[in-house]
Amino acid sequence: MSKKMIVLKSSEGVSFVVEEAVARQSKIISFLVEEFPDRELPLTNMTSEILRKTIEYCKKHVVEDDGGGDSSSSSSGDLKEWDVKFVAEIDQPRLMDLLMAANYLDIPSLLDVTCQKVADTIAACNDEKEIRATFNIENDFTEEEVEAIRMENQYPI
Amino acid sequence: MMPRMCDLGEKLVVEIFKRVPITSLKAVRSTCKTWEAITKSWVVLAAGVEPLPVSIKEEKSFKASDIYAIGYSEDKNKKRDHKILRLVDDNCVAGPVKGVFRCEIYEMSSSDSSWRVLEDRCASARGVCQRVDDIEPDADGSIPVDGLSTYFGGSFFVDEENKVAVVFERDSYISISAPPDPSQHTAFVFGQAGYIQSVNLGQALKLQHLSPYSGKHCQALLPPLVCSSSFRPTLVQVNQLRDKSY
Repeated sequence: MSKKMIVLKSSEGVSFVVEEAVARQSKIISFLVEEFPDRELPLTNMTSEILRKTIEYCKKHVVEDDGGGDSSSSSSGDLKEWDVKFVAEIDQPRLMDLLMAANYLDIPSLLDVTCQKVADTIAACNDEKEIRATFNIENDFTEEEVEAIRMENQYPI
Repeated sequence: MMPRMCDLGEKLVVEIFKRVPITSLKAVRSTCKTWEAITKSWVVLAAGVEPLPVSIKEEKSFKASDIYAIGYSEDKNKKRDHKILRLVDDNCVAGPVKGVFRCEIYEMSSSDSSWRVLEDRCASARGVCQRVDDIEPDADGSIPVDGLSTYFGGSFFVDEENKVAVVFERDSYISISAPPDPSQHTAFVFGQAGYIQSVNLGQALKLQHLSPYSGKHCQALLPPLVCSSSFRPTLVQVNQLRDKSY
């Protein structure tokens, strides 16, 4: 018996055929599949590259209920290791895209690993200057404001 | 266009910040105005197996001399109910002296995550330790609070699993004769056999405040904030409605 497949379409119009169980890890897709069965689902704000990455993650994390499929089912330790490697290989801009995709598609575990990776990157910075450089953030504080921040945190004693 | 942190929106930035260790808080706050605004009301408060997004809505003032301890009780399903003990020294309040110490317990249940004041009564220094025992029923009674200058708002927690107590303090205080420069926030770790090690948490903020006694402006160092026993401290948002009447 063949598994039910669904079609996801990226912003470039590229179609991805995915097992329903894989795609259903996204709560949004799960909802859409029920509302619009047998329809292509257009994901207009996701590039093919990010959609491919997201599907790769979902394939790895799919839980086999019949135990006989060719999708991978791994132990949680292996999965964790795989997740770490998965986000480590993604560069900064794509990580942001993937994080937003996880949020948009509502895939909690993917959102967790991507947020954790960004948090780890922040933690690895020595100071605010390094954070700004890493994330391309403009310093919009003046010298006076830096001092003001210190002083306005008045703590009544 | 390259996606940037500012494209994420506040909800996602908060999700990220909740996973950033406390030692990076200062750098995060100093990065840009948006990040400063998001983390402004954040207090390093609690972390556990899961982060605890909590909000204390209090009509009263929180004072630099307050001492906090955090603990939890665990039910058979390993669900943790976190409790916060707040020790208030009313001697620091202008006006008639109400009492030496007050003691309040806030309980947060894992099911409804709301705060309630369990107790609000006068407590002697000894009572304080008993309250701590209430919070950590099986904890070793010899919590090393004796060696602390309780007046200055050192906060602590006890970690049952690792059999340690951790005290958050500054390494020095404002003193007229020898102004410390700069003072550091430090976590002191105590095991059953005594002091184990200290961890530097970064420079203490120097704040100006109006003395209720002299009416003059004087300087104080922001006391370190409470942190729960956990594998890794994370940030939790606490909405402190501070009394602006001072």
